[in-house]
Amino acid sequence: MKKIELIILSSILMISCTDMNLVPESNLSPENFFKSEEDAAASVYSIYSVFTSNDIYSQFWEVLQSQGTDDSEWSGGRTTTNLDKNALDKFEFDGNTNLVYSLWVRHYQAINRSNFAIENIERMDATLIKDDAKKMLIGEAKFLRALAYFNLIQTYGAVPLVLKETTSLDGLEVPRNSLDECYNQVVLDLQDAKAALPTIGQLPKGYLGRATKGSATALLAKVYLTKGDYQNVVKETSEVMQMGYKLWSNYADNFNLDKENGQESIFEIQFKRNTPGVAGSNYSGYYRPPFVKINGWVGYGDNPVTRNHYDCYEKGDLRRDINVRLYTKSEYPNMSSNYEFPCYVNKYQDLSPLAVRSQGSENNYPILRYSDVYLMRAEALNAINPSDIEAYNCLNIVRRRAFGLDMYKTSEIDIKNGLSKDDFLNVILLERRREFAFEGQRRFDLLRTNKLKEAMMAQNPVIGTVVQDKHKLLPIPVTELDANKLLIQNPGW
Amino acid sequence: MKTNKKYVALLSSFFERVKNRKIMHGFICALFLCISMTAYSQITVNVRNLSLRESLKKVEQVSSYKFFYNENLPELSWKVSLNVKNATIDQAMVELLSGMDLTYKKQSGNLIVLVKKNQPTEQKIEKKPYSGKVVDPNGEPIIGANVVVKGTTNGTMTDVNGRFDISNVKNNDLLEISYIGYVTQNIRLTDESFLRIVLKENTQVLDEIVVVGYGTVKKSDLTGSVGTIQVEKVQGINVKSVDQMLQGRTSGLYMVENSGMPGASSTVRIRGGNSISGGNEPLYIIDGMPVYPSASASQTALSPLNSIPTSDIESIEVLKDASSTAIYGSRGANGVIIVTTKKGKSGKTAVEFNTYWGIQNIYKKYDLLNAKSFEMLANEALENSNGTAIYDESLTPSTTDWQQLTTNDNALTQNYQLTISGGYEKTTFLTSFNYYNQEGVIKATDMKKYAFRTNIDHKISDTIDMGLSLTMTRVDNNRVGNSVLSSRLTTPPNIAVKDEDSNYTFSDNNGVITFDNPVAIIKDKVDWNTTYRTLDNAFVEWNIIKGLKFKSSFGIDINYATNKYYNPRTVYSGSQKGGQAEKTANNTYTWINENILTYTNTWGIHSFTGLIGYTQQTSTYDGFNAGSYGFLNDNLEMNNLASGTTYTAPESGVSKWALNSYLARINYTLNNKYLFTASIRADGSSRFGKDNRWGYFPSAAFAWRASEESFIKDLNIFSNLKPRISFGVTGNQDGIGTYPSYALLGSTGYVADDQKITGYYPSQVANTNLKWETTSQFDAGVDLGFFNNRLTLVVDGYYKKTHDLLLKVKIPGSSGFSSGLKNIGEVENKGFEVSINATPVEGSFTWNTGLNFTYNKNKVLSLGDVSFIYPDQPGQENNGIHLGRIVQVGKSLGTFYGYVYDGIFSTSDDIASSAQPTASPGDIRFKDISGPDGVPDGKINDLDRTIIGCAQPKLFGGFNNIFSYKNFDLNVNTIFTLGNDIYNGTRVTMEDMQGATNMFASTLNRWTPENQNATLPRALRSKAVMRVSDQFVEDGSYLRFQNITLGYNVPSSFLNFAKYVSSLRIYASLQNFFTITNYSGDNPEISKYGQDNLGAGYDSFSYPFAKSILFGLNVKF
Repeated sequence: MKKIELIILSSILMISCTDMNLVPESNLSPENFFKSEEDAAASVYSIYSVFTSNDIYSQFWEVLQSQGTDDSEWSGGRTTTNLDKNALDKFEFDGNTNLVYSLWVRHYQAINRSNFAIENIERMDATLIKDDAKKMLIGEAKFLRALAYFNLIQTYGAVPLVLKETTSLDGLEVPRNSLDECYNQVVLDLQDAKAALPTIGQLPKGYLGRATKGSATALLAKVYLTKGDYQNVVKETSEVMQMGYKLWSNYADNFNLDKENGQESIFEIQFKRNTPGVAGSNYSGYYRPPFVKINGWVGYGDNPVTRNHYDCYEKGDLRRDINVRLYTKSEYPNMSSNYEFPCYVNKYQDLSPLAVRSQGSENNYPILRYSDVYLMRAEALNAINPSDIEAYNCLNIVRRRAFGLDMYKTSEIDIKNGLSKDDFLNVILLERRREFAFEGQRRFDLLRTNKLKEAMMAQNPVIGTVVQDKHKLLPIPVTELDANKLLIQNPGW
Repeated sequence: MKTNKKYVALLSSFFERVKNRKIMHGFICALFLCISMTAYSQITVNVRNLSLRESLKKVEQVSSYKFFYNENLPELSWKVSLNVKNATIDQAMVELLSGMDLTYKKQSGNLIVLVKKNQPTEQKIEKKPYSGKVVDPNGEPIIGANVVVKGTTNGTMTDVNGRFDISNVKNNDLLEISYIGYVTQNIRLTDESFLRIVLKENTQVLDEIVVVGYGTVKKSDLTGSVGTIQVEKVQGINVKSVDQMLQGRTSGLYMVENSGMPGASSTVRIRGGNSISGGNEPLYIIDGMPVYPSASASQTALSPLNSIPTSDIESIEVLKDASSTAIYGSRGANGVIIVTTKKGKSGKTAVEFNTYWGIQNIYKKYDLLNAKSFEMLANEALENSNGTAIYDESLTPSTTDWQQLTTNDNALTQNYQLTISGGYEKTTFLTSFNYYNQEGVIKATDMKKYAFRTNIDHKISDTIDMGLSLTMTRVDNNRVGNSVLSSRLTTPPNIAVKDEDSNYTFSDNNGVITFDNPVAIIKDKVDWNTTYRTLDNAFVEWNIIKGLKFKSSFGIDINYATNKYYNPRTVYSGSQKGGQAEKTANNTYTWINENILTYTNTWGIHSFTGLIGYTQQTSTYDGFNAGSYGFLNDNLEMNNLASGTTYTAPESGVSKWALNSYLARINYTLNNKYLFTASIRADGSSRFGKDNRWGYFPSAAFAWRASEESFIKDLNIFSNLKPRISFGVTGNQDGIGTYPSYALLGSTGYVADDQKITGYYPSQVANTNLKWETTSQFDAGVDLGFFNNRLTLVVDGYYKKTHDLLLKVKIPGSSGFSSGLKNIGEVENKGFEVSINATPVEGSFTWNTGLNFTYNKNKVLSLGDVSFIYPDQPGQENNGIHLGRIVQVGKSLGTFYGYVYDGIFSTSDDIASSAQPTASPGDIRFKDISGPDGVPDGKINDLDRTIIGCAQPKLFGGFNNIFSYKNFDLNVNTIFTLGNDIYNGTRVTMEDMQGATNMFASTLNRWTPENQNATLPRALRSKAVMRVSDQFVEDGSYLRFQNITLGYNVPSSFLNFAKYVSSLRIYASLQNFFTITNYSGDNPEISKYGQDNLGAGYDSFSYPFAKSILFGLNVKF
């Protein structure tokens, strides 16, 4: 029996403590990342993917821009059960509205990922990454950080500037910076990006669709325009105009799936269908009306288009039927009988049989198109000198294309110079409404020119009456105020 | 001991029965011959200079012989030597006893009795031999009983037949017959020389043994609060998993079956929920293997306990207070449930067969609109929304009853269990096979379980025991029917199952509504889970010296779960992807090693048990999943993923955790009256940051067996009176994932140049400060017994406070994260629990009754910097979609939060001056409760929400009765809850008044200009935003007759085959046949979000609840 006792004794002696320092095996940890150029690039790619989320460019950014303005409205039998869309539409949103919070959090997610990339890539030495690549990747991250901050500033006003990666759950409460500090940071980042990023002529292999020097320059122009720094808008747009961009002669080519990232595209968010791990676009499914069945499925009929928008196009403007479509009961007998004005967005459609309704189509979402550069320039020139003929030229180039005319030949539909500053601004604004319908511009165009209330009164006085000064900014989300005691709510909220 | 004896008795009675059967006799003889032959040829002993007593023990060890002798024989201490090899027993004995005044007698059963060679001469004078038989009240012989002439050393023991012979006694001598567990009897000897002595069982001595953490104690020595489930009372009920055996059986334990789905998970709360974000389920210890039953927050989640067999359970103990659970330290805060399975007994091989068979039906079907009334309401809804009617109301369309088409009437449940047990003195075994098959009351749902178990115990030597417990199960769950839970009610009744071409319909006649045809799903979809699990535990126990023993055990738990899924092209959603297939495999491997040193001793009035131990455990999870879609046809389903045209992203993941623990406990009893227990456990967990890895969990308890005091005894009131108090600290680390303290990177994708590019980003911030969630608990209780314990009462009051909650809190979003896990906040639970057991009537008619009830009050004491949180819907954490609940300081967890329904606007209301100026007559009016300034502001918005209910019951319990008369017995078990609310989400959809999907028939009683007093609003296709309101909050209190069983023990006189069958019981039972409740849904016991602590009491298209009739049979051979 001694043997067994011996075995037991020795087994007790052999018992050693289980190791409790377990390292995650299916997740990378930040400590052993950033060992190569590929690692560095991956940290930058992850910033882009934030912008493809439903909370930003895959849906709610557009909801803010069109449902939150005179372009779409839930009415006349077309309704939504989505609380957020309804609240935006009717100007009933407040600090508890989900969208108000998710938009905030999602942009800061992009900012944190940018900080993560910038800080860590900067620390990498020459043995790990070539200087050119390092500079370019940091520039790309800075562009994306600037985009996120610019969106935030326009939406919420002055926000806290967080420029360091979050590495601990403590000390996260930060106050708002001044609006100037915010703008300065955006400008600084964009200037750095401008210096570091490649131009469209010299894109590295496989780079197409990522931020370029042109993207940074055009965005910088937009930032200056929003700030009211018109001289700089002229300067930056001039630079973009030297970079080789061209308008498509056919407006519809901008939304042709075969011509994405084409000659007119300055920056667009990339969506791809049927690709595991990559977001597909929602717009095909969201905008297709609920009675139109293509490839076996109907859409959700989101962002229902207002009569006010449908009527804003002049006769002969080709953009109307590309941007929107008014359906008829005779064509679609299945249409619900209570739809008063069955008009829906038409510009993002993926008719491939592979496309599916939710996050399943190919359409990219444009952020900056070259025609925007013309119209920004027109707006800035008009602000500096209303009689500047170049402002009219810029506008008319875009207009002529819309009517299917030669862009560089004067025509009947040209806007003749001699308008007052205000009148010409209104003309530019209307042109922008038609040119960039449902491209995430409308709300900020109206805010920049201080015409949100006016526009809403014109579209639906019931809603227009609700609009107050405070609605120019979204409230700081209540959840955020609770979590961060240093924040102060926007006036009026 | 008693059972042990019974088996031997059975053995001998078996021999007696077969004696007259020649063949059997011959067979038995041959069998014995074999055994004897083996014994004869195998004795090899080498002893030198040992006492005869020791030498005989050696012989016992190497042979199958057992020696009986009078302890007073002087020769026993003589030194002898013996060296034999392969000798016969006779050779050995002759050599051993040479030179002594002793000889030996061989008896059956390999017994050898030592006797004096020369009988004393006194015998001739007046003393004479007596013989007799000792039996128990059932007439079964008692083996090994002591028979002693009182006042002398003259005595003997009974043999396998309960017989004894005693010589050297005379008339009038007092014979004392004693046996453990029986009342000692004194017999005055008369002239009669053969005695038949019946020993009565001593209920006082036969104290119930209760299993506690790392040991057992006598119930009377218990200092903590431990509930014992009387397993035999639960058996015979349709039980799919061990947690189901707990409901209503012990106080302090609240159990909710999350849905009626076969294999659904349950929610168990012992003395209320402690944690907000962390786990709240108790820890199960199954034959020494810890199992934590966490299931995903869904009513259709499968219970991880399904793979634990419910058969062969010997006992279930529920450890409630901190004194009992602190020995489990960091895993004890939610209570501990110890499950011990049966072991074999030496003696005749026992065979037992149990079966039941039953049918189940939906408890309550919903009353839905038929096609005609549906079309009428749909038209009305359209017209009210300025549309035009789309259905011709002059027609009478035929109704498709989707509810009935998906119902599995008379769903069958079958259970078969075969148990074989037995063994010899040194080795015992029990092995069983169980097959359980439950069809669900919805078509294409069922659960099949195959379980195989073996327990083996073996005595290696006098001091070393070993044991092995092996369990293997396979559980198959068909989950297809879960996809139709809502569509079977909502699909419009005016749509046919198949179109003119005999294809399943995809859309309504107008092509506007597309839907997944419930019948197509039932027929063609695949959603099949298979879980293989093996739970094995082996131990060695070494009795080093008297009172000191060391036990080391090693256990493994391997859980391999697979899922196969195919959404066919005959179902709309499947057709959209050309058929969608997916396969998943998850493998979890856990091992645990426990080493416990126990010392027990008694010195006079001091009795002491101490233990120290070290345990270590690690667990590894490894899973992957792959899928594809776009198939040519549905033929291959998910069996050839490569044949799909597009592959979905494959996923895989690995995670590990480890736990190291040191534990110690002291039990000290003074004078058999004052009981002290103290324990401490130190736990180190890999889940926490290095600096906070170790947690220390002490406890102390005191109990006073007051009924042992003479001044209490003199009162003659109490048969038991034991006040107890305990205090202790326990922890929690479940429900927080595996690596909550690490910084992690996540992966994501983007597109450049039309190619996918992979990105990495910080997905989790390091939180090295993270530590245990800690619960302190104070418990005061008293155990009372009256009328010789015919009436017992256990009352406990407790107070639990949990601090450093592992709370998922909102952190500033400007960090790039919306929430983080922190140790923030406090929750308390206080309450009292009472259990009463009584036998009011005893005799040929006996009534046993047990009532238990618990009052628990849960309150959030602190949430850190905020005073309330709106929890997100499980699975919607990133979308900010709220649950309609609030977690507020000063309120209970599970508090409903929403608007207050204030009736329907009628035509005469002044709508313009109300808070809803845009409303129309027939719309719902909500109460304007508050505004930005704290007073009603004439607007209905978030500020008008208020507390509208709470999911936690104020009181819950069970009332169980057993009536027996002669061979009949009747069990009536009821469970009840009082004061809990349910949010009826099924009504939210089924009373939406839109007329786009089917609705409850009650919606016909909607508001119309002619029906102004309705509670339901007008039909309206364009729907206003849905608000969570008290309109859908209902009282969820209920009283349920969970089980009514009538059983009959067929008397042996009826059994012509009594030779083969020793006992036969048949029974019939009604389960869940009656429920008294005001709740309008089919079942008040429900949880859409499964075990989620915040989402309790949410009903939304639950799997229907079933009532069943069962017939069962138990046979023992």
